[in-house]
Amino acid sequence: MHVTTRLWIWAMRPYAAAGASKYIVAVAATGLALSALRPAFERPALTAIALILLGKIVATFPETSNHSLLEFLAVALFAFLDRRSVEEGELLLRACRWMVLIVLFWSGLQKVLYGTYFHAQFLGAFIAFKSSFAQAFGAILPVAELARLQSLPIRAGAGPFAVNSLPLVMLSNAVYLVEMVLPALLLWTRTRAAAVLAAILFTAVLQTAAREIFFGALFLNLLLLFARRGVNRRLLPLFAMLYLGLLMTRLLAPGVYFN
Amino acid sequence: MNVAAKRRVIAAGLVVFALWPLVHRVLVLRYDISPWRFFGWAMYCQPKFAPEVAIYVRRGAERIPLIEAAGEPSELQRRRRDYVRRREMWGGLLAPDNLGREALRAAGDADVVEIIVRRLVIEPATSRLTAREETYTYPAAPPSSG
Repeated sequence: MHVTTRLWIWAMRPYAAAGASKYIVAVAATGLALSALRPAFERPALTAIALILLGKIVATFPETSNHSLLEFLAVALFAFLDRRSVEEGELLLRACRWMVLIVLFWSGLQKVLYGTYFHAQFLGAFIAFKSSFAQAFGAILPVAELARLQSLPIRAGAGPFAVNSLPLVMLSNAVYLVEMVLPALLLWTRTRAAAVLAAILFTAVLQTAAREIFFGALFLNLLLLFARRGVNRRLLPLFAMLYLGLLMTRLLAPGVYFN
Repeated sequence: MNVAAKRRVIAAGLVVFALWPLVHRVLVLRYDISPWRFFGWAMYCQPKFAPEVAIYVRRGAERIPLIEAAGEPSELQRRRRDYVRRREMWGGLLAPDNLGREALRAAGDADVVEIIVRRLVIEPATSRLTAREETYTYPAAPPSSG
């Protein structure tokens, strides 16, 4: 559902290099996804979808988003392992969980290594230059600080982008701390349930603010693999509504930005 | 493939997946590739600004922008736009050699074409935007004798 929705939305974007072939890809992936619902066709269909995603990554490299890799790897794992076998099902679950832990941890560590979150410099710059971030974080900034940031030009020497607002600086530091600590809490059985809830909340807020709805949805699905078995399945109607909503938004309001 | 073999394949894949961001960080530091690309999980660490690509022509001691020296043919404009787009991702791994050759051709009697690539980043220590600059020099081929 995730992959086909994303492929349809990709197909609807103006992208001169691919032309009408994007629709062929979207139609093929939809057909394969539907056939994957039948157990006998599940793994061959998922293998074909994984190949389509790999082809798309190769064709658009290096413009490909990090999200695309995670999406491909998740599908490839489901194609590679037979989840009906207890042993392989367990291996599949553990592999997907490890991917989540690695992505979360590195997302936090990279922010530390770049050093642009200690004084909220990155958030300050994005609030200055991106209206979606100004809308999302403007409410916790003093009006004068928001106005100062938004008046900064994009040129060498402009700044400072360090934000003079304790709540935003705390939030900025919380981002990488949460990303680096959550993996440990997700690993430890005793803290796992609380960590899943915290991670879901964190991902939902952060990805919504960044308008990275597809990455958010994929990551929420993967995070739910740490919850009790079957939660993903129970939440399927909710995700179906989300994907349908995204598709309708792209059709009816193509100017609305989300990724 | 049996389960043990699949387990080994997945373990190896996860090790690569876990170590790649470290390599990615080195590539960003060394070659200024885009933190947003190449699967390093370093999106939202630096703003994504397109680099500025300025082309200058040297004739003797004179150094003037190509656009003043020879205008900028539409093909060269297209190549420059394309280079800007790709340079934003590939960083210093992508030298503007083709653009340099095209600029030399457009400039006609230039001694040297200089291409300056500037990219803005947030400098954590000052919290200000800083330009990282790289200059590429393309001398005109000496006239063949005889």
